Amino acid sequence: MALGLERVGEEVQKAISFKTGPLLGLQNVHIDTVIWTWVAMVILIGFALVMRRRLLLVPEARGAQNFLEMTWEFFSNIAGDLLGNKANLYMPIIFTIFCFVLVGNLFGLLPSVTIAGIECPGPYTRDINTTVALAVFSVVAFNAFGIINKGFFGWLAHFPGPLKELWHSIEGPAKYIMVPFMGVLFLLINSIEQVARLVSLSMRLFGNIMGKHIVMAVLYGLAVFSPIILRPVVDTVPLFVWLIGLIASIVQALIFPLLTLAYIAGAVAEHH
Amino acid sequence: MDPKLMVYLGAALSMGLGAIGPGFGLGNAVGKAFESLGRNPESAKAINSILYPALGLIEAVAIYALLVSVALIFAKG
Repeated sequence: MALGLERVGEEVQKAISFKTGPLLGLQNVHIDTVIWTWVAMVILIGFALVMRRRLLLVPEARGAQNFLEMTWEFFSNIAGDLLGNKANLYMPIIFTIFCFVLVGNLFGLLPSVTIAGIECPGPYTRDINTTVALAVFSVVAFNAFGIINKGFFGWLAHFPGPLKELWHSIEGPAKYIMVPFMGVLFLLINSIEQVARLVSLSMRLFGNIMGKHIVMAVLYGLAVFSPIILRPVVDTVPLFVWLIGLIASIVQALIFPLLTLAYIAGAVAEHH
Repeated sequence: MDPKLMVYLGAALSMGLGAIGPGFGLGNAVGKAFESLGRNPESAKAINSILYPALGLIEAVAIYALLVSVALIFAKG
């Protein structure tokens, strides 16, 4: 049964591929990701420099400063709850990750553009290199903050778990067996948790954005190359997927820094 | 059975079964949110600000299943 679905396969292949080439002496670099990242950097830094001069005490409604203050307060409230007074130390990292991921995700709502003669079919957050790099940054950040605040051996001492409380809460000779056993168990769980945090942070962002991109490609392949009779139905579905993609982009941009904040708070927490 | 058949079957089963859990989870979360919103309409802002991140986190589990599916389809050899 010839369904004519070859174009769908081609569109999906185009959606998941990157333009690779040599760059600055390295082979096989995703050039479109690098170009998009530079565009995002120019936008973010330029925007920040422009906004610095025009900060108002009471921002106008529906302005950019109002939106930024809203999102800053979103993170700042949660950081204040989790971290108390030290929230402002960690806010720059959290908000920067948010801005970077948000700009990247929002690029994905545009059609495929051609910058500097190189075709860029999608945002840089659909590249697993970017998401893994951001996740590595988050994992190194919260571990580093743990080491800075508690010393290297203080941070290492968290891995086997709360051994002192366990020791004092079990009576009798059983504690000589139970406490080392629980220590080894906690060590295993905490080590796996580090890896699981890295994988889940990167895969969540990558999967959401790349999945949305693939679904859009499939719908585009079905819509444009479908018979005229089905056009009214088939042409409106991508719009809803695009809207869901917009919501998912913003939600994923909120979640990544939020989780990083939760991990930092967990690493920096004082003991009762 | 033909290995290519198994690959596509695995991809379909992965996404199909992997969407059941998050479907239940999302429905539960939003249901409780609506219920507590009905009881206390003034907590709309607080519920809103926790609901969307929670939805994103639960949704991510379905995305993991989607990743397995896509990886199965597009892996070569």
